[in-house]
Amino acid sequence: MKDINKLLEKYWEGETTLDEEKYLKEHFASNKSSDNKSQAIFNYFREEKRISYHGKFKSPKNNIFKINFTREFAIAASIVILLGLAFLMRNYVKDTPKSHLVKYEVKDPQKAKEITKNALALLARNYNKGETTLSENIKNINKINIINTLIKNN
Amino acid sequence: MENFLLAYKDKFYRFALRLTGDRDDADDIMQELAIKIWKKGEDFEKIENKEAWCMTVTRNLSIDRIRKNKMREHESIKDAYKVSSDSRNPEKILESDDLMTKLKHLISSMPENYKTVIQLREIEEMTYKEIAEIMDIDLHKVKVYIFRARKMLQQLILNSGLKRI
Repeated sequence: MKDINKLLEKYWEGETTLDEEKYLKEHFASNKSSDNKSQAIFNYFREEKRISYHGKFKSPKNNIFKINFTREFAIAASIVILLGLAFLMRNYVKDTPKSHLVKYEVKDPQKAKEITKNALALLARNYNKGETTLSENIKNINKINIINTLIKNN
Repeated sequence: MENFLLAYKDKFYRFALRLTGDRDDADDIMQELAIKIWKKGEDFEKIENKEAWCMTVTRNLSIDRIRKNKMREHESIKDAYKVSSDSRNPEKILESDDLMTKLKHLISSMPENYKTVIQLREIEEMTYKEIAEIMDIDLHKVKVYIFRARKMLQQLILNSGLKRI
């Protein structure tokens, strides 16, 4: 008979072999030991091994079929949606009246040049106005910074 | 393929249950494992150590599941008030009268690596080499994990009041 205490010592140090661990399990399962703590642990390990799986596997074939079917269905649905959108776009482009744009059309090249010139001049004016405001704001910020520095220094 | 799964299903289930601590999660993992095996098709037959392969897949699926559950708990304020069944709360462990439940809670409160080695070594009685293959670590690390897991178990038992049994 093996010395249980020595085996246990080895066990807690992680030095026992599988056979020695099995021996310990058998020992604590068949004997009433004064070492309740160790007995509880080894009996727990033995009990845990009795847990079994009672569930049923859903046929993997069916599952895979479902996955493939879903994927194919999604692809088909996407194609239908894309075709539908293409059809609607085609009809929209075909049916859109161009009449509301016709009234803005300038046929005289001289007049068109004049209008473009005026538009560019307006753009330049507004750009300059924005630039002036920006430079004024920068100047104001600089003034504030100088005041802050003076306050800090005093 | 089906015969293999039927022969080892209990072992895979126990492993998933140990890691997730939840029967529903373990059930789902079993279904996912079956699908993965089926998807492998003929390649599954070529796997040298099918049991180790399945245990590794079970472990990975369980870790994924734990991560997802944790994320869900963080996201939901409601769930934040729920105490999970693995009870990291030592008071909960002490409250439990049933010895087996106490031990189960104690092991559940351990880090994943330690739970894994306890399940594989103490319950499934696997060799260090088999455990190393499943966990994809070297033998030395397996020995270290087993040593530390046992020390932790010893310590947890002392702290939890099991010594008074």
